[in-house]
Amino acid sequence: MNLKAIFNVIGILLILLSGILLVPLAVSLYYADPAPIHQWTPQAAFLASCIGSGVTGLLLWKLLPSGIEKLREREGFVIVGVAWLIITFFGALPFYLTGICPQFVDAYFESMSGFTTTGASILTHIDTLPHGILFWRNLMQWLGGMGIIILSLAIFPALGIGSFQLFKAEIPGGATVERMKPRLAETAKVLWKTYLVLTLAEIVLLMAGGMELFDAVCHTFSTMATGGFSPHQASVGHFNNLYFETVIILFMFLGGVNFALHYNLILGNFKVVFQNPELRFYVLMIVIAVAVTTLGLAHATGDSLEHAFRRAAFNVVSINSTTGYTTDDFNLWPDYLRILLVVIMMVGACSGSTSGSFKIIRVIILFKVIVRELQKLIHPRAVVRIKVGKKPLPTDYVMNVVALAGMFLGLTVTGCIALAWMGVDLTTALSASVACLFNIGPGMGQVGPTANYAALPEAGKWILILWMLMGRLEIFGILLLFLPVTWRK
Amino acid sequence: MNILIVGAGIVGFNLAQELSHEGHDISIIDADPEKIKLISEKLDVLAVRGNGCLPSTLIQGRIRDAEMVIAVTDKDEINLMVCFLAHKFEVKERFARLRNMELTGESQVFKPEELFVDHAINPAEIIIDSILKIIKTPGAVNVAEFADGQIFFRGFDVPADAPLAGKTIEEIREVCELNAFLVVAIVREGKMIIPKYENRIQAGDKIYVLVDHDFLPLILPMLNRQVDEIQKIIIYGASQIAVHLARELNEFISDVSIIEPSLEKANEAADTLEDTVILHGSGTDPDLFNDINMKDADLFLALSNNDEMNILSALLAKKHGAKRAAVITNDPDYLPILDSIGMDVTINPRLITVSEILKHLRKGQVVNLYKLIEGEAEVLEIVISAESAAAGRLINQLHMPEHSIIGAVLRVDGEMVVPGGSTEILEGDTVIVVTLPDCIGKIEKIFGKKSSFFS
Repeated sequence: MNLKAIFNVIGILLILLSGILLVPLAVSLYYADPAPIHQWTPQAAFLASCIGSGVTGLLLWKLLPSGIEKLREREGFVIVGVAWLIITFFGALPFYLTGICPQFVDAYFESMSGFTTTGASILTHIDTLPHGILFWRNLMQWLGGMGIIILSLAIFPALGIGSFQLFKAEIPGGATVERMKPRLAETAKVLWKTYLVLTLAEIVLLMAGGMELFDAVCHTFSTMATGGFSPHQASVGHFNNLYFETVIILFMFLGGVNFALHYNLILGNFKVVFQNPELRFYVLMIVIAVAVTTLGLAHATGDSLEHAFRRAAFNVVSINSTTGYTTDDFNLWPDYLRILLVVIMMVGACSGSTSGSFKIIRVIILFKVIVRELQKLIHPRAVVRIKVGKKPLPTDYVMNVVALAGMFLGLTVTGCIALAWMGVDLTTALSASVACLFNIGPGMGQVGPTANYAALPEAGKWILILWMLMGRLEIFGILLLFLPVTWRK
Repeated sequence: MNILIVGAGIVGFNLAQELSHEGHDISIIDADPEKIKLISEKLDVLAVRGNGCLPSTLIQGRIRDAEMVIAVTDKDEINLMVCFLAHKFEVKERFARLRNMELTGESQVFKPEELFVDHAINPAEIIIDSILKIIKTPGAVNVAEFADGQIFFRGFDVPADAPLAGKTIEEIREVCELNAFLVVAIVREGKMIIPKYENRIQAGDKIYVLVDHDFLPLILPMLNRQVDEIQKIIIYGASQIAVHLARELNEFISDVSIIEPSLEKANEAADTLEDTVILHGSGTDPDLFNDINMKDADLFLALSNNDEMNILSALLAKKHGAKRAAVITNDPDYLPILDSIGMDVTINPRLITVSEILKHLRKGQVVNLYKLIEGEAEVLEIVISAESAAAGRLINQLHMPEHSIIGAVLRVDGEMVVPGGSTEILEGDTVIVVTLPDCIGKIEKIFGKKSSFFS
């Protein structure tokens, strides 16, 4: 294990983070945020985090001359895993220093929930928090959505040597994601540019409907990242505005689509986009889920179809794209609809998007593996290749998907048992485990849309922090950090 | 530049690596999923698995954006097909490796251009050419020519009794009043040094010199190399290269024999060659070596297509008394050990192909390029244009990086100047630079256009 190279790269990332921290500092200065509770002012807290991250970064970068040309696969995973842990630490500092989160675990939870675009929060009375802090929560989501390491690949192409490992370890969907350009740095740039264009589009559309700049920017950041933090306690329900909801539904949906497809759309390759099996599945799943939910809600609550449709569409798309905004307390929905929500939570959206979760492409592959097993029973000597679209998949990759499915289920159950053991009720324990591992945000029961994660026991929060990170980096990369063999020379 | 490479063998891989490092955007196509996996893990390039003859695969490899296509698969036919398709996709420059000498040699029935190949590269021709040059330069272990044959680049082993041994570069320059050559690189224990004035040449070193072609015979005595004529050559392997080489050799050497283990191939060779003795047998058979008097052989050439057999047979031949041995190895991974086990001349067709292609691609006014096996050093031939930042300046004003040296300057009138600090570089000069790979970027800046660094 080449520790020097690992920490050298992490140094560069921290320098980048320190630069980014200047943005919420500026926001905080602009709004002249007061100190919340006899603690540091937000401005001082951001400055301290910025300096802390910058100095640590410079030290790591300068003291450990690089050998990054020769990154092996496992070093890529270790860099990404360790970098996320450290970046989350510096991201948590503003919450801790301002005293908004008196417990460090809460600050770290909020920061991890931000960067992993989960959107689970431990904060209460969100509307009263300083602007800088609110802005930082949503900026973290926006950065984490496309990936801070991929951002650094786009900005510092010098890192590009051997960094396919880094790219693969961070992009949601892992090895399925296709390169759009021969050079990774260029691919990273295309991804971020597409992301930027969509972000600007949403800000403009929201403001055109009369939303204030600050709210528009914050909501856009967490919509595009399919994160789900809102600067309002009541989330998007705060506005009770059909136009805003429609725009946000559209962009939550887009955030869950593979960014390579957005790029193809911009290039005019419509055929590639519309024939994409993952996108078709995504659309179909949303249509069915919205239809079922609309009818279910209308039937159960006696709501008009039109109003039920509005509630269903927003919350289903929000959950399916793993955003986690709410306009309604789906905790009060009939049980079968709540279970349906948990199921679409676990399926998630497309690979190569900013969404969390298991990803549709993997569900398709799992389904085909099952079909293959059945075919093998009927024709024992048949040669059946697993294909998505017209593309056959290598066996290694199929095995990886099956193993990942096992891991996702195993961790869900482990998390659920651990939380229940700490005295959390079953609905809360199970949904918290799923909502964090699959990067959704709000769960059911005590962690439902109107409540939050503040009341959970501390040990439970640490587990969920780990779950969020594993969900975002797709488990194996983080598990690797815990294996002694990884660290052996 | 966007470049599409078809074929991810040793040549394709090395080209992709070099070109991607130099800032080109590379896509590479190969049918073998293992190779594609390896390449996409190791290099920052777009690797596509598929048949390079299919337009759909080529489109995946972004042929529509490509400004250059390099076809280096195993099969000439595929390479031709790729170039033809590339022409249909309106790619401006098309390279193909064509190994079949009937397609590129003198007897060709069509020109490669007719099949839309702009640059046909036949490593065999280059190899035969360099073997012939080595045979004609006694003692040389490495040969290349620059400035249309005006300047010779030669590598020599330094024997203990050579007058040069033990002298510093400065002393050599003082002794040799002719001032017609310069030692540009020393290889000692497998490491390459670009010498400064105070460096000393030791017995056992391998040295590379740049010399005016008229003065080549004059430096041989300094290395204590007599012009001992080669009379008996034994070749292992009746490969295409061996057969063509034997035909050329027969013009001036009477005793040429080829050992070939496959009877079929031996028969084929015997059918085409008149004056060469073809022997059917193993390249590692001591009895056969005795029968053909290996101890009198002046040169043993292992030219079969099997790297391991080439190395083994050459080792055995030397053991049986062959004076010098030359081997062809395709796998560059073997190169570091060949010198230490006593191979006098090593030839790597893959590296030769790579340098042929790179020659066309180097930015700036590089007109010729030769890749050395040790340390991957490169010899560059650069023509100084009026816009070059180096034109009109003295050499010590150029601040050449440490691991590089200007080895020779050829004036417009054909006079070769051995450069010193006070030599002025003039517009129109041809400059030969030897450099280790870490300095290539700096060299390009020094000799590039004044303002925009070749952009």
